Amino acid sequence: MKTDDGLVRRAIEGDERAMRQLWSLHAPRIDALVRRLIPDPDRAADVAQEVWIQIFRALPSFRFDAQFGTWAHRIAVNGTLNAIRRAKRVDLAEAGGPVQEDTAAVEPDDEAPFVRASILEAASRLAPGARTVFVLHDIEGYTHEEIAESLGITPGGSKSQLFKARAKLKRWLAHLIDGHPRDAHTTV
Amino acid sequence: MHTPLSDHLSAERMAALADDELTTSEAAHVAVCPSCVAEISAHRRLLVLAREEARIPSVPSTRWETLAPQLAAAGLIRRRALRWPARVAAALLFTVGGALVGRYSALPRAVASAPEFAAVANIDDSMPIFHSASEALATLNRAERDYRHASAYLVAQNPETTVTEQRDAYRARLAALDEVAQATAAGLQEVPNDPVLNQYYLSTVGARNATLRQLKGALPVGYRLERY
Repeated sequence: MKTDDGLVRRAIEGDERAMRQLWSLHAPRIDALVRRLIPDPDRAADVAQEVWIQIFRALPSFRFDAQFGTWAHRIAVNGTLNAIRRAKRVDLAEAGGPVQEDTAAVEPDDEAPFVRASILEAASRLAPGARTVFVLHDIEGYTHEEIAESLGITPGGSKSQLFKARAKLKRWLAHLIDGHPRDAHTTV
Repeated sequence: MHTPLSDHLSAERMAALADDELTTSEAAHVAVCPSCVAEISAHRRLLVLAREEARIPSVPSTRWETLAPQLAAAGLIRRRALRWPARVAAALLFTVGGALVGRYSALPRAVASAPEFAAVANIDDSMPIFHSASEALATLNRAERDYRHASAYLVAQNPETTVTEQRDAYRARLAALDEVAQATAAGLQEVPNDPVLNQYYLSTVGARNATLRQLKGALPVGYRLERY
């Protein structure tokens, strides 16, 4: 039996102690995912809370052949993406513009000098769709097929947005990565 | 087909090469093009930074104290486990309560039967000997007050006790105290001068009022307690 299975079974029965332990074990990764996708800290905290309610609500559908952490992470991804879509619809509706699906578009190129100390801060400058693809693929390790399914785009579209996002980030983070003898991975 | 130095890789392709393999023709170009080598290396370093980001420990932005009431409201929390202070308090209630009842109920028999009282006294030399009912009642009052203070201290010492759990504990305690008060009040209808029932009734009402004050203190500002 996997580590979390006993906790999950008790949590399904509504045992608060088990639920709290599951939250305690997995909140650092789940909440960090939400923060990476939603740069505004207050909104990220609200969405993270919604995500946790979704996770516990969906718990009876958990299949014990999977890892709880992986399963919960996937729910967090979808829950966060839905929250981003809802916010986008509200923003567009308030602006009087048409309601459009998220097409993972990269914002227009901005050549102004932009120096950021961390990769997350730089990623927060990307358009939501591009940030989502970058975070899910390069940070969280999802495949293009999985990302495409979550975003409702093609795997090719996911790749295209990722490469554009990487190109922009590389330019923004040039001071961190250009000519930096980091490790063997960087050998071409 | 990439030919040496005449046809650099596209920016998008170099970004893809962060985690992709060079084709034969690309490798031929890169072997003699320091510019493309630098670009691809930078992309690979960026990817390494991104992968490292996922491993950096972070503090949750959610708090269980905020999450738990919402889960309870959604009907997802159905069983609250008692934490150790509550269990200790419950054990203390039985132990202290039992001891007090034992002392009171044993005292008249001890007076009536000196050898039996002496036998009990020998079991525990520290057992107090009372010379009057008022002295015994004063001791009982002190014990009851000390018990309440000790319970409150133990609860306050538990860092895991949440506001929700505290409120639920107060509500459960109030419900239990109400039952005790009703039972002792019913008993006093039959034997109005019984000292044990009187003491239990008064202690219960006092503990109930103290708990009510604690419960109000644990509620959010502006929240009006209408039921528990």
